Parts: sequence; structure tokens; C-alpha cells
Amino acid sequence: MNRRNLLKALSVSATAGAMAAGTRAAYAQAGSVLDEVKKRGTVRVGVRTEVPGFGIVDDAGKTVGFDVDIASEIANRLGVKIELVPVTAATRVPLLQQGRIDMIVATLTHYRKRDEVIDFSIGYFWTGQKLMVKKTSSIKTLADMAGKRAGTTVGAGVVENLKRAQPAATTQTFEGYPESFLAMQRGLVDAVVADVIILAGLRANAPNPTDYVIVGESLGGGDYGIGLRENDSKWRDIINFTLQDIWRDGAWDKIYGRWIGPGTKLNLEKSEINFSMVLWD
Amino acid sequence: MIKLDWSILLGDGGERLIEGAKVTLQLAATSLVLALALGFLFGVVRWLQIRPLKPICWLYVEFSRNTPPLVQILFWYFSATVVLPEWAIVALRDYGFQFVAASFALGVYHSGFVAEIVRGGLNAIPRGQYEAAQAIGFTILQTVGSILMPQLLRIVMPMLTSEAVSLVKNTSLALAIGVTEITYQARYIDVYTFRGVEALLVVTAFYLVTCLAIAGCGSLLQRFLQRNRRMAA
Amino acid sequence: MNWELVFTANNVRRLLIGDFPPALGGVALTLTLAILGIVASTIIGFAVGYARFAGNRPVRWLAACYVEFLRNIPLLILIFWAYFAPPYFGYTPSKFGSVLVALVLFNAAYIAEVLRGGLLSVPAGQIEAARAVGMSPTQQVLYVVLPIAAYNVIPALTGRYITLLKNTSLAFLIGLAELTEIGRQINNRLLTAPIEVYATLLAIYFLLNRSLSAGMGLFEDRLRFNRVFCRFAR
Repeated sequence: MNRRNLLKALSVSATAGAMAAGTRAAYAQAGSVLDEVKKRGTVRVGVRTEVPGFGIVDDAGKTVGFDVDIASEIANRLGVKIELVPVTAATRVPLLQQGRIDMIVATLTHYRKRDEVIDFSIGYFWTGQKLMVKKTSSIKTLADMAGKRAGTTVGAGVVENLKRAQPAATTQTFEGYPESFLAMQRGLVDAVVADVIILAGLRANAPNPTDYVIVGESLGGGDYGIGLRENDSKWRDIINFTLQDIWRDGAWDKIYGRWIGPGTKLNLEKSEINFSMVLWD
Repeated sequence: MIKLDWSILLGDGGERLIEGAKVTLQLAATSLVLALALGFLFGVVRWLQIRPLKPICWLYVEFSRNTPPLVQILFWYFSATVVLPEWAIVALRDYGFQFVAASFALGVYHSGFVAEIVRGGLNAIPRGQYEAAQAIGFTILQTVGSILMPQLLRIVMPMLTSEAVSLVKNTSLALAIGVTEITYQARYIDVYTFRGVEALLVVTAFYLVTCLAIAGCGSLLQRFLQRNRRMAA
Repeated sequence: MNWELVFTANNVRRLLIGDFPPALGGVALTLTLAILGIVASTIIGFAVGYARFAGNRPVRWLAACYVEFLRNIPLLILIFWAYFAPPYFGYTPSKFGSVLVALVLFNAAYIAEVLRGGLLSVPAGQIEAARAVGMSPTQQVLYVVLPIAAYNVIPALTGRYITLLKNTSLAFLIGLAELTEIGRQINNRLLTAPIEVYATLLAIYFLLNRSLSAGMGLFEDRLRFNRVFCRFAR
């Protein structure tokens, strides 16, 4: 490549860089979600309504759970009110992309594929993914799932993970996890496949928890992150810092104790869930 | 504005849609057969006004017509284990129990409408026709085959056609119990690629074409029936 | 069976009015959707049906396109479009608004066809008589053609209204807390009684629809009485 061409190439890439910077600047000028939220005085949070322990509609009609309390704690510390918007595994990302919600706090595992379209906060929980079957079932490992049917929800990342780990298994999706669990109870599917903490929550809230066991190798999983609009670092920074504050001053432990810790239906010691938050000084 | 990127439908996405279209057509076909069979049965029984069967038929027809198909699908899917014996569940499950349940629910739902259409059609045939057939010594089979059926079909064909169109559209509700029909597949593509507009456009066009084709077949059939009538006369 | 789990005071209240106040839901929201849907789709349906019957060629063609397009796609698809498409054009509708718009557009197409059938069944003699007594074309339509057609189509309209009420159940797929969604929320929490919950939903819808058709029947009787009575009074 002669000098002239090199210069030309350089100038082209510089222009491209400037254009890319230009687009990003346009994004920033459109305003950060943080400013919108402060102006509105309300943060709209996408939460689930069918995951016991994380986001479920209780007897009185209130949506409650670990995710809901984490979101409320964030809203408190930002000094704004909270508006809970029910989402499903299928609708949570589109609703965020369309600006109908400001953040997703809905058992959203951080995957690279999702990160291509939205941004994530640091993790605020960790879980693996496994199978849950009846105690009497012959399924003990992933290999046993060959030719068998697993129930889950549409939009859950575990659908693709199971397909990769055990191509011979069929997945059948429902609108929510409870329906797939009910189908398994009745023998209409052989297993429920989901995040371990979700499986444990379903089992703990069923009338006969001892009838079901969680089995198999982990299919994957990872940190639950808060889903945030793409390319809005001002908003993401404040959410990350707030999460770390919540972890540092013990508020996280309190919320954990309320929904997952010893004495709750899930009854898990903090040491059992194998999670500690990333902290920055 | 939004830019369309059709490349998403090449490869895996396209295969999913084709697979979904097949399931949609299969589901529509099985539930249509069931709806016609049950519908003709209940329609004829109601028309005959057999006294002990009257309340049962009334309840069946009114219940199937007055409750949402979506809730019927959910109900039949989850109540299957109570209604059916264990071996039947095991046998049907490998075939995809959700498909069986959806076919059954949609078949029952539409059979209520078919029954009313058939009853109305039978009522529209003048009594004199049977009497005339009897007078010239037709057997019951002959009466049904050459007097009743041709007239009935002529009367009910347009309404049955629109019922079939409505049935095809209602197959989309089966996604609620995980039947992998075409609307399910479009949503699957949307959820796992985060781009669903193209798939949804294709699916909309699919329903439009399928439903219009059914309506077209219905009117061809109707024309055929009318011509037969003229030739007979 | 676990009926006692389903019929608690809280569940019954939620099935009837949802989480009101502030969030109206359950039967109340289903009925709100149905009533607004019935009124709006009747108005639009009558307009489109009349346009297809009596408009000039382009108007007839447009009306026919509207009817044929909307009658041949599933309502579910229409709800997806109504909810997820507008944000791409810079407008963000509410769940309630999206569902209502989809319900109205969908059912208006059917009602248009119902009315067109009714208009075709108006005897030519009636129109000639109206013209003979010196009514203007507008008067002929408003006082003679439309009332006769509307009266003739009441049974068919009742069927459409029932379908509209049943169709409100599709709203649960985008998470609007109408009757079916409230039922699902209860089902999701109980984790043991799907048959009881869905059977309850079926029974409630059955009662609502039977009441709706009984109401329409009364309305029809009253109209018939008025017609007969007026004829004698003259």
C-alpha cells in the first residue's frame, strides 16, 4: 500500500469514526433515561408476575418478590416513585426497546445475545439452570432427556441452552412457568427446565414440595442483570452504583432474607446461592 | 421508521415458519373434521327434537358457543388427565398432547356453531319435500341422500365456509399451550432474534392467503352445488 | 378438587373487579372492553357496511378491502400489530387502547357484512314508498332503509357481540388484567388447581354471554312491540 492510499484509508476510517461518534452523540442528546425518570418522578420497571419468590401476584393482587423489592429499593434511592409494569419472558426486551419501561428487573440473565440489543447492569443475583422432575421420574441427567419433553416459557434463554445441550429433547413452551409446572405435575411434560432458583421457587410454593426433585447437569445460566436501554451510560452508571450501595449497606441481605433466606418458603442460606456482587471503590 | 431486514427469514427462521405453517394447516384440518362431525351430529339431533336428549344438546351447543376458545383450549389441556385414562395420555403424548388438546377444544368450540347452522338449514327445507318423497316410495336412505343432503349442503355451504375461515384464524390461539403453529413460530423468532416485524408480516400474509383460498374454494363448491341443482331440474 | 382454594373472598373480588381501586380488572374490565367495543364497532361497522352498499366505486372498493383484509387475519395477530407496531412510528399506545382498537377494527369488519346483508334484504317497495311520500334520499336512508336493515340484523349482531365479548380474553397475551388474566394470576399462585380455575372462567363467560343475548332478545322484543303498536296506532 503506497503512502497516498494509506492516507486515504486513514481518512476514510476517520470519517467513519466521526460518523459513529456522531450517531452516539445523537443518542446522548436525546437525553438519558435518568433525566426522563427524574422529570417524570416515576421509574417504570418491568417485573414478572408468574415467578414465585421473584415476581408473583399475591392473594391480594399485589406484585411481590425479590425483584420487586430490589427495584423498589433502587427507586427509593433515586428519590422517585415506582410503577410496576407486568412483563413476560417474551415481552420484557421489546417493551424496553420501545421505551415502554425504563428498566427490566425480571429474572433477566445476562447473555451476549441480549447484550447486542440492550445494556445490562452488573449482576444482582446468580443462578444456574437445571431440570425439575417428579421424584418418581427416571430422568436423572441431561442424557435421560433424549426423546423426552421439557416444559418452559417462551422467551426464556434456557430454551436455546437445552437445545444445544440435548438436541434430542423437545421443549414445549407456555405463557408462564406455573403452567409448565402444572403440565409436569399432570404428566403432560416430563420435566420443567428453568433457572434453578425459579424451579426451587415453584417447588417451594406447591402444596407438596417433596414430590419434586431438581436434577441434571447445569445447562448454563449466569448473573441476573437489570436490563437497560442500549448506549445510555449515565443511566447504567447510576443503576450500577445504586446496586453496589444496596449490597454494601446490607439492604440486599434484608431483601434476600425476606424472599429467599432461611425461614422463607425457599429457605436457602446465602452461602448456598454462591453469589457476591462486583464492587468498585 | 423501521428498516426491514428479510435476511432474518433465511435459514433457521424460514424453516421455522414453514414448519409452523404445516402445523397450522394440520391443526385446522383435524379440528375442522371434528367440528363438522360433532356439529352435524348435534345439529341433526336437535332438529329431530328427541325429548330426552334436548337439554344435553342445548347445554352442549350453548356452552361451546358462549365461552372463549382460548379458555376452552387451556381448560381441555389441563383437564385431560382427569378425563382420560393414563394409557391414553401416554399414547397421545408422544404425538404432542397439546396438539390433540387444541384440536379437541377448537373442534368442540366450532361444532356448536356448525350444529346451529345445520339445524337452521334443516328447518329451512319444507316439510312437503319429505312427504312427497314418502309418497313416491323413497326409502329413508334415498330421502336423505337425494332430497335432504343436496338441499342442506346448498343452504349451509356459505355459512360453513365462513366458519372454516374463522376456525383457521382461531388456530393461532393454540400457542398458549405451546402448539408450534405459525403464530408461535413468529413469536419465537421475535423473542430470540429481537426482530419480529418481518416474521409477523409473513404470518399475516399467510393467514390472508389461506383464508381467502378457503373462501374461494367454498364459493366454487357452492357454484358446483347450484349447477347440479339446475341440471337436476 | 380444590374449589375452596379458588373461591376465597380475595379471589372472587379480584375476578369481579380486579385490583380496583386503582386498577380496574376482571369481569369489570372485560365488560368495559366489551361495551366500548360493541358501541364503537357498531358505529364503524355500520358506516363501512353502508359505504360498501351505497358508495361510489372507489368507496365501495375501499370498504371491500377493509372488510376482506380484517376478516381474514386472526385477531391475535391484529392485537400484536396494534400493540407492537405503533412505537416504530413514534406513538406508544396503552395495553387497553391497543386491545380496544384491535377488537373494534376486527369486529367492525364483520358487522359491516352483517349490515350489508340487512340492507340487501330491505324490500324495494319500502324505498319506493318512501320516495313516493316525498322523502329526500337522506331521509329515505335514515328513516326507512337503516331502521329496517338494523332491525333485521339484530340476531346476527347479537352473535357478533357475543364473539366480541369472548374475544376480549385474548388481551391476556399482552398482559391486560381482564378476566382471563386475573384467572391466570390466581392459577399461577395456587400452583395446583388449573381445572378449577379455568372451569370457573368458562362458567363466568357463559353467564355473561347468556345475559348479553337475553338482553338483546328483550331489546328485539321491545322493538317488535313498538313496530306492531305503531302500525295499529296509525
